[in-house]
Amino acid sequence: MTNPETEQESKKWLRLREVWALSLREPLGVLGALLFLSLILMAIGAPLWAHKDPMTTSISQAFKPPLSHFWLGTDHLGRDVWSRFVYGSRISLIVAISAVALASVGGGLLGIFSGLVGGKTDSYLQRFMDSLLAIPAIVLAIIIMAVLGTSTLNVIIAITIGGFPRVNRVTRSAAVSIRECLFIESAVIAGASKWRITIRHIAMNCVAPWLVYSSALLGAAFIAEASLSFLGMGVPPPTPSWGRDLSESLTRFEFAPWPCIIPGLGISMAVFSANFLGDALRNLLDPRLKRI
Amino acid sequence: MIGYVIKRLLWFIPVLLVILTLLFLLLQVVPGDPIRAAFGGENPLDEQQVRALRAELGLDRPLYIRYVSWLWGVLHFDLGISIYSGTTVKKQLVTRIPVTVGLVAFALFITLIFSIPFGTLAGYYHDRWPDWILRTISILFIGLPHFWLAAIAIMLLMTFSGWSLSVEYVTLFTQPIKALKQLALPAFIMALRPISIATRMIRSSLIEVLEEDYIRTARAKGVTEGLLTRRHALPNSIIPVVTVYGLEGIVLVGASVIIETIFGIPGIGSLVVEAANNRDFYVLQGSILVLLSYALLLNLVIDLLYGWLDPRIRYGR
Repeated sequence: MTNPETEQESKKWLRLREVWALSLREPLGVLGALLFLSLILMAIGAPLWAHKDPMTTSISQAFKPPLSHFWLGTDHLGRDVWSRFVYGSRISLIVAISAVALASVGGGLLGIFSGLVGGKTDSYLQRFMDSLLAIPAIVLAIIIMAVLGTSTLNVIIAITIGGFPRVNRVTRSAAVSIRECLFIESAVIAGASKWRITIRHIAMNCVAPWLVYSSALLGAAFIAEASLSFLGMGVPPPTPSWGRDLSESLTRFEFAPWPCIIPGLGISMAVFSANFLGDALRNLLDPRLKRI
Repeated sequence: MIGYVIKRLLWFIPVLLVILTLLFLLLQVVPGDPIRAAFGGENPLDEQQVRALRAELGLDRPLYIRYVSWLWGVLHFDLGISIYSGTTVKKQLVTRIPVTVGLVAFALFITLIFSIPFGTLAGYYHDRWPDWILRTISILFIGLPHFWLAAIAIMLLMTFSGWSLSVEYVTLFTQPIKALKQLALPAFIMALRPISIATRMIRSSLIEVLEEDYIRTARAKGVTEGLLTRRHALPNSIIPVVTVYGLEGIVLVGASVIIETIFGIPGIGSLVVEAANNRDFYVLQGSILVLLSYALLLNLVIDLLYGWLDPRIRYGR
């Protein structure tokens, strides 16, 4: 007879061991998760890590090298590079996470709807989405920014619209293929209601591809935000943003490379963390894709 | 095959119509109107000047007439005039189109000639060291944004080898060799991401094909490994990757916007950015129309190629 307490204990150990096995199987995923976590911590506690105001300019302090009074140096306006790096993570995360959340929820729901309704509605909706897909995401974002003008909200809208048709297509094709499965037919015969089948059987089975695709979108959203800022169409100054900081200091790279390299590292860190996480998630949820 | 081509060409029409309508609506939803948006800065125009300009550009006509005249104009390559500089949009586009067409085609070409051997290598030696090296590099390049790579490449070259950015770019059609030299670096940087993605796709596709029964049969017949990969496995494993090239072609057209801006290449991509920053909406409309047509055209070519390579698609199976 087994003791219920030891059983509980062994279950706990089993879970810990599972986590350990998981991290061995997906070391890059764990690295991505850690990177992402540190980005979030950096953004939330920005005033704690950055002791100087990221927007204070002082020309007399311009181009101070790293490891001086400013430990990552200053840029052409005498702003502290480290503080701008820390605060820059805020805008990057806010924009990328909200855009991906909006695009994946909206695109996912519309995808399931379109896939289930079928017929003319589905066909027209998908032709429209096809047209949006034919437009490179960055060009679409530029169009939207040019029309709406620069603001944080508009950057989020621009990136959301770019991601929307992509999530929509992935969830729609998942919904269509699941709809044709035998177990849906069995559910109908078993007398399950329409809603139960839609939510419990079809939507739930679309979650894995939807989640995988949405996480892949996060990296693209980081790049899009940085690219828009780089082109001068992102979040308006003086808010610190990695993309704009990089473009502003690019021309002075030869005698002061640090204000260019640091925000670049920030962008790469964000993109890598998102990509590693997305890859790991895909491998775990969809083992068939492991080899790609 | 002819039926398939016609089917694909017909699909082209609704997509183009949606894009044309979207671009038309773009001008209608600009807060205020394009004129006020363009001249809204330090010294705005007075009411009378605005009205005169509106009349000159035909903005005082009803919406549906403007829509029809926009479609009619597109058919005649008449895309209006630049509010900012006063020249016709067509004139601005004509000199820039060959530059972007050349750049993107060059980048796509580089993608093809690198990704096929790399993908074959990684797939044939999968889970051994050539595969590991290629996989690590490709993960790296998929994650790095174009402008960051371009910026670092320019800066490193300028600092260490005295190389400098070209001030004037020649086109592929007038001075091909010089143009290729000038476009090599930007095209290569644009191609890094598509190369990485296509390499990964070819790798996984080749691994799958190498496990097929007909490959075992060929081996049993004594076909050498080199011939086996080249003649038996590779052609079949490239077919599914063709769509990846098509998708990456669209991405490359998008990337040209950033790369051209950074390198100062006078193409359509940099015109989009200039027009957006100047809020010069007719130029923006026209240049985006050109970019999108190019993306659609690339897609069409790839799709036709796909149908030609894989007969199953032609017959709708």
